[in-house]
Amino acid sequence: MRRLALRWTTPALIAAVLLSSLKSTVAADDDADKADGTVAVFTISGEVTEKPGDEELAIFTGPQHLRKTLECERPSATTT
Amino acid sequence: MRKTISDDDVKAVVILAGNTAPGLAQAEELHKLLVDIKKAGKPVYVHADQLMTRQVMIFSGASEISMSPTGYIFLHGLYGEQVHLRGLLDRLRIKPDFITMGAYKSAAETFMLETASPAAAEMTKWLFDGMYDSTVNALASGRGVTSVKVKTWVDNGIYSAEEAAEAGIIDSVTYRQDLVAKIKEKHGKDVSFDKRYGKKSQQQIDFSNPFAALQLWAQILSGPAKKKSDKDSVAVIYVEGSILPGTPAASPFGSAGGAYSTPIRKALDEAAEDDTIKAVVLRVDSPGGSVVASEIILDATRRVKAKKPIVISMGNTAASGGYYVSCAADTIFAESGTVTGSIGVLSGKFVTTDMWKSVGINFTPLARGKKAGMLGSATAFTEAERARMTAWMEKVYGQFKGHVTGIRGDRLKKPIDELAAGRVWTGQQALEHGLVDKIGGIHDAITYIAEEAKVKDYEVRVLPRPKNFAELLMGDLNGGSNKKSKTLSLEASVSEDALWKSVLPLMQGLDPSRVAAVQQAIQQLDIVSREQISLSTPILIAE
Repeated sequence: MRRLALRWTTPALIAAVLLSSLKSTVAADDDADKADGTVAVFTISGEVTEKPGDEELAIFTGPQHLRKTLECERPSATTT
Repeated sequence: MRKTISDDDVKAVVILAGNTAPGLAQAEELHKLLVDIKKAGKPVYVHADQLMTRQVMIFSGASEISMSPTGYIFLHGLYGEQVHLRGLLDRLRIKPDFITMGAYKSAAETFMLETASPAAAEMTKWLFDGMYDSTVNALASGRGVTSVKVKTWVDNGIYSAEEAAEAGIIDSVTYRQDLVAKIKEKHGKDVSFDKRYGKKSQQQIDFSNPFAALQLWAQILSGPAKKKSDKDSVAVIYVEGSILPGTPAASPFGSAGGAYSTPIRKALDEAAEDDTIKAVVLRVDSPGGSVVASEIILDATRRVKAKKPIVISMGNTAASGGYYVSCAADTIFAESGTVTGSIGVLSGKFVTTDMWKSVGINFTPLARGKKAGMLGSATAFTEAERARMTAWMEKVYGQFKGHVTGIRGDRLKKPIDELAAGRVWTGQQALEHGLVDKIGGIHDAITYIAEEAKVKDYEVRVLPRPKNFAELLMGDLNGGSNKKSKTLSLEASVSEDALWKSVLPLMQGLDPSRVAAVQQAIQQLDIVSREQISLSTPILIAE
């Protein structure tokens, strides 16, 4: 019984995290629906790249990305 | 950003201008995009704390530019530099011995001379005049003033926000919060500001969250992101950076830069064979590089052309090898500020005997064969070796010119020898000479080729598909090699752990453009030392 519980702990936690992310995305979309029109906001900063890069983990790619992370209003490492 | 034009929900666009320095062609494309959004009846508001010349040029396409009080503008024009390493080589007692095809093929001057030759100086002048004209013209049309007025602004150089508003370079001096209030007043207080507009809802990992590690694992285990679409597509394939043979070493810990021939060739072949891909855009932003790699890519574009329409879209630079890979296509788009042409070839080596002698190291040569030492670094080319090398290079140069005249012969406005010989042109000048066909950016090229292919409802598909983290990680664990590959291909042989790659990035924050120029020079050397011949453009810093 204990072994069964352990086996399901990790998938359950992963599912919980994914669901919470999904929920916040849906909530954000709902907010957008309520608004009366949108003003699209863009920030043009740093190197202007065109080619979609292979996915890297920002935390491993050097000071440029780390600085970006620190400048964010809500610090987080992003996949770019 | 372009999506806002057709999105009825979007009432206006706000651009927060940070510190950025795109290339001239990219700047022109962004400028035109802002104009297009404005023409669609959607005001474009730019807010900045500080602006430099190129940013002013981009944002002059907007409806309104505002700046924070105490902000400033450096509208100081266009400054350029060519890098010459001869003095350093002399100090190190290294003798460069280069041969070039074409009086204007001045890439070797980086190593041979301490200052530019008369031919290179003449070429730099027309190139710089063209680039400056592109900048001034965009700024003038954006702000609705004459080019004479813009040049007066530029000659004055520095402006406080208030002075810039008074001169008409920007529209107002205001804090960002006041701009938000103004937009709400104009477009309704319930309007929402979408800071992630147009971005895919990609999952972010918030490391302040205690479950971040699980989230990370979930992402790794999620496998390939998306299956291939069955919808009609226009494929976009990038040739970005120095053109190199083989395959790059990709890794989740940072990917190697450069346009490697194997993945580009495979992507072109995939685009040729895939029936859902109706047309192809080859986006070239490259100063050139390897002859062999350039030929492999060119040959693959021919295979695409035999089956479906293909167009070239030139970015900031598409010169020498960058032009070589472009010349088989029927139509070439460039921005007026694109750096292109540089049809020519160079080869050479460095004689290092005196350098080693100076530190007490001597090498005793042994040779079998009359020309055995011609590639060695012991002596300069003998007359016989130089003649043989020159004959070989003339053949490669003739092949390059033949590729151009074979496709574009009737469109060239002058004999090829008056356009080639290493001459570098802006996109506008290249258009006047018949080396390119249309002025426009990648969006124009995509729209054009979709019309040529007679497809209306299509998606744009980038090839090769970018790899996700899991694929990169698995590739890295497998040693990066594709064991299932059925074709022969070279592994990348550019040194990945060279000392300069470790040291120069540390100086990037201090002097980014000069560091980039030195990196490019060293990359050119790497190609010459491995292949004995190179299609490279002279290095020019322009900012």
